[in-house]
Amino acid sequence: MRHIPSHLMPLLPLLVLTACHPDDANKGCTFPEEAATLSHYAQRFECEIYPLMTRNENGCVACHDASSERVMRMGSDGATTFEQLRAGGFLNPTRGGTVLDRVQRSDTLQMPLGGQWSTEDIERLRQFVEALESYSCSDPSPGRVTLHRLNRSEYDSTVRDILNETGSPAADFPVDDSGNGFDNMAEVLSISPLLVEKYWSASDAMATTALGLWTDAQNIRLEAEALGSGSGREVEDGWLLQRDGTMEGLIIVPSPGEYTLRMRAYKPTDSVSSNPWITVTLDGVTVGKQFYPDNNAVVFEVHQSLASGNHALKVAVCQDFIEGDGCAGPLVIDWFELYGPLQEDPPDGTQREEILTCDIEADPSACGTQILQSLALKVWRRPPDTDELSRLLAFVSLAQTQGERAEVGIRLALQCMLLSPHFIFRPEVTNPSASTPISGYALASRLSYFLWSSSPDARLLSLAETGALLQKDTLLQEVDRMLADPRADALVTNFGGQWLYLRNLEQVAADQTLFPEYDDSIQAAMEQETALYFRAFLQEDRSFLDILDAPFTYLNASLATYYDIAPDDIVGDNVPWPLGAELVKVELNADAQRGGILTHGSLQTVTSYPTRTSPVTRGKWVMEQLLCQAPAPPPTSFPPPDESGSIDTSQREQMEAHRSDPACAGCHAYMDPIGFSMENYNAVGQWRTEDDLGFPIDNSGVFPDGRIFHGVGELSQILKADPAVPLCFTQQLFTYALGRAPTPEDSCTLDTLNARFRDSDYRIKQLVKELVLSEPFRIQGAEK
Amino acid sequence: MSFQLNLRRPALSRRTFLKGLGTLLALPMLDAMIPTRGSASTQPFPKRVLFYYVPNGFIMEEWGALQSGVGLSLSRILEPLTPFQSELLFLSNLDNYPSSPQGEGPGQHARGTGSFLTAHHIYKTSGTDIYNGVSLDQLLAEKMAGTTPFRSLELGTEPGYSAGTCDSGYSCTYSQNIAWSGPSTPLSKEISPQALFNRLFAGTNANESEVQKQRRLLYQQSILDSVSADAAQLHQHLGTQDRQKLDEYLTGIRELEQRLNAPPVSCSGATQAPPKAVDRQELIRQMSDLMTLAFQCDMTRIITFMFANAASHQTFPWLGINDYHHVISHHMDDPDTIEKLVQIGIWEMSMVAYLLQKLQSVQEGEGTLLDNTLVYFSSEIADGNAHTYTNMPVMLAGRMGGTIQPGRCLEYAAGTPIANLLIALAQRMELPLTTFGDDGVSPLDGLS
Repeated sequence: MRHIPSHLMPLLPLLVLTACHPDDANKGCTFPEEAATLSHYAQRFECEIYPLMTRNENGCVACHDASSERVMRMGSDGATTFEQLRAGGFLNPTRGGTVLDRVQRSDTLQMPLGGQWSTEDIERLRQFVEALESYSCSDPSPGRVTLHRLNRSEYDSTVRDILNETGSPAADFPVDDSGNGFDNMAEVLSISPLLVEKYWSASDAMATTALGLWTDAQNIRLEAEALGSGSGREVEDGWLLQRDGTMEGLIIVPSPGEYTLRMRAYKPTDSVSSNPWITVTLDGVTVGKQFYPDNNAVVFEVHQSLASGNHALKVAVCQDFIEGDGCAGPLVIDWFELYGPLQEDPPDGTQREEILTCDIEADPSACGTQILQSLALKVWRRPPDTDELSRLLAFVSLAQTQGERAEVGIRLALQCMLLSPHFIFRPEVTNPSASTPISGYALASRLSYFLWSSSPDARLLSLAETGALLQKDTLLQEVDRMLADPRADALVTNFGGQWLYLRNLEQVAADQTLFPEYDDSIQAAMEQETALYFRAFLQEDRSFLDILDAPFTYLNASLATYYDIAPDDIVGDNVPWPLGAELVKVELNADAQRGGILTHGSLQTVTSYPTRTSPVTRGKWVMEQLLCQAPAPPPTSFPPPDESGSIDTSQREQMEAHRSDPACAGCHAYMDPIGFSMENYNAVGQWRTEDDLGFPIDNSGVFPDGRIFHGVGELSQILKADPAVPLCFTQQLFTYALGRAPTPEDSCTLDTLNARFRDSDYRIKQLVKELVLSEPFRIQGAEK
Repeated sequence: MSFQLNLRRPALSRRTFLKGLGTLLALPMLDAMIPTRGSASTQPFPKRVLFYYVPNGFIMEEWGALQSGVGLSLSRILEPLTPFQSELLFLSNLDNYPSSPQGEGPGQHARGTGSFLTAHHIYKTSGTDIYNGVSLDQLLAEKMAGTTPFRSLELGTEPGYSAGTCDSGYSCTYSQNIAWSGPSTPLSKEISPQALFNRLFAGTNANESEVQKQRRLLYQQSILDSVSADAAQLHQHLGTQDRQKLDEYLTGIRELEQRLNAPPVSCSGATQAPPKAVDRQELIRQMSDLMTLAFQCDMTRIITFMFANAASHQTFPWLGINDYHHVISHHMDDPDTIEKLVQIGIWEMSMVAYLLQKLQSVQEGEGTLLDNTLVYFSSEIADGNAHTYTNMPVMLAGRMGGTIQPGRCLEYAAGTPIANLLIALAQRMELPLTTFGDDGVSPLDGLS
């Protein structure tokens, strides 16, 4: 496919244009001369270009119009107006599949109605689209990302990283809708009441687990003044004991089990005496001693296995101490708590020690502030403001007024944070009416959700706090650090998994009678093969384009057998043979049947039907995912080609026949030959040389311009030379990185990114860096 | 009748009959947990509606019924429903005109599913700006707020695709949801019987004391108040589109609040979630059991159920059919493929029969739960090959508290909007609609 070299692009916009062309078909049509407005181009399109597209019954619109019965729409929307064409990228001067590209290739395309354009008309179109592009680039808009909700994989990774929750709570959430090929599109991610209900249950369970609380445990609080008997006396908020004083009471245990007994005590503020020791006994057995070193309240805690029923509790001050040893009263006992029954161990995944960094029971207010401040920073990816912090802190006092421990308040606050819009969404607070650079914290989140599908770590948050992250050098260092982190595998699973359709592999229901060798372990190995392969191009110093034909892959013993790969298909002798259960990298011989992404069993399987291959689906995948030239859906009045019957050699002829139908040919002239060239791989990705009826496979394909190619090897070389492939990858990564589809205003950014990608000899890492530095990534656009 | 009874067809084979019977006789464990309803209640039993969606249409030549003096004769696909023929009402010549292309090309599965209960022509978009009408079940659900613990239940069996596209430039949302609470708010569905059981019946601790309960409610309310305050604060700093997202969140929070504060329903028998289903047949039976239980316990009165998603790619190994349903639904008039589709249809109807049998097995006063329920059954298209939207396969089952008179076939004037049927159903649920969707202008007559 031809490509306009970028040096042909005008460097400056054409500022002054005369009105319509003298011999314009649409005489009398005028447009504003000022070239710096979009309306100029809209009008000029109407005057100059649209008449060419509709000039007679053979014009573009005769076929490429949504309202026409002969629907050969350009995009999925059937675009022929200026706005639609521009939005669909069809007015770009340099890319493939655009109006310009199409009319330039018209002699080689099957334009059955003879829609060839004259050289002058093509030139006029070129001037128009180039001027439009210059205009667009002179005023790039960073675009706006809608309030972004965490999708399922982001939710799971986030709670894994902030709470060590590895149970994938989002597995139970409704599937996220996807758009533009990805499930992290902010505009598409909606919230249903069912989802909120699930957020509620997940937040409840996670907060309980994180604090190490037991769901069926109860907390019984006994105020000392109500319980007390023995020596001593009641004071306002407790029971006051002097040296040698004792306090006795009965506690009632509802059901047998492991309990935590807590007691809060403090020295009266006016006390100047030396510090008391206290001894606690249960049923006459000493369960603990505690020294009170200063005037702060201390919570005494002991774990005890208790039978149900009554137990005698006794607290003594300076018991067994002799006169003059420095032990003295008085001491006020505030309350007792009995918490249980507990299982033997706290629930798995508890973050008690990480969260409760100070003694919350002793000093609920100061300690609570400290805990909640750092917890909110983690959960909300930014520090809480004063209002927010006081709302969170209110849970601690709420728990206390209910006679519960202060840590229950932390649990409630944590649940609240996990249910809050600040967690569920990634809000970027900017002025909606003006383009604004995003804050350091927002940038930290954009980075971490792009590269890790998860929340920023402590280092990113601290770089956000100091503002260092907003500096280019720091930002680039962070990208390197983050890509080297194991969390960057999220880019492989989430971006790669959707770009390469790996995620759909799980839903493939291959016919077990036809393909008995295809099972779950092969499916898993094929999925891993492709993931590892993509990771090599992300992480290693390789050209992205080599993904099409690199002579290596990853195999384990069963996948090697399944692919029928023998030691002599492999280069070198450093691979232990036979292979084990783990996938290892193997270098393949040039004549091996594998090598390059299009030879992966995962891809071949996921683009097939359960019982047979589908050349159309395979061709469509290549056009959509590698070339970003999604074929228009088949027109209503033309049913799709018959792939429903059993496959035989006549299928190819049938399909070739339907390609002679102009309504189908526009797309199938490309899709079908691509798919045919992959026919050596059966519906579950195994190599074959004969079809189901024993006829030899014909793996040749012919493009409308006459190029003939055989097999995946030659197809891959054609694709490798096609400039649409790296541009398409740039567009896909842009879409995923930002969580929004590119708009016409992004056209320049994409071309620039693509040019730098090319300058780096197609290093994905470099593309990631360029993306992160680009305006759309760092600036939140105004609302339109 | 446009349906033509195929007289040359063989009688229902003994094997098919036994298969269907086996299905009906399979009694899962949930049967053991029929709850007891206060029999002293003098209130009439509530009316319930279940909207039942099956994808990919039917071989319409084999779908339909003829009415005669002795009752209905059912076509081949419908034969599993024979035991319930007196409870069925067949309506012909109803069109889903809002799903017609209207110049927007292919995408009939998405359009037919989108307009299934909205009677609204959906906006064509692959991602952003989804737009539909509000679905009838949600208008009914709105009326139910506070009456039952769940205003409505949205149920299904398939998660949907997580990579690629669904139908011809239409967002997958349109293919995966039939309940829409707002034009841009599809309601995602619960697809796991275990999760559904837990939503319905688990949660509160039976041994909870009054003090504990009051404390729990207080804590819950405080959390909801606090996140609402977070949202209100955030709201001031957002753009229009962001606010729309936040509003969806707030709607969810308000519904959660109602749910948490609703008095617990005592359905004493419902104590154990069903085991993980081994195949789709069992999954659908489990869902049918739980739908029955949800009605029976008055957990909800409005349910939408998607048997599978639009243009479903299910395979049917137990029928020896291993190709994708949607792919074979483009049968190209191939007799073998048509026969496969007939077999799939028969199997689908055996699943419907299972549900009807469950509903009928629950006594309510003098009658049964089925007498107080209406099952509205249809598909997103009529014929899978031609993607037609006229003369849709529409079947009603049950008597909806005596407001429907089944056991009949009604033939309407060609081109009668399905939306008119939806209006008639709404009125029977005391929702005084007079128009609905793009083309509903008056209630369909003749139902009672």
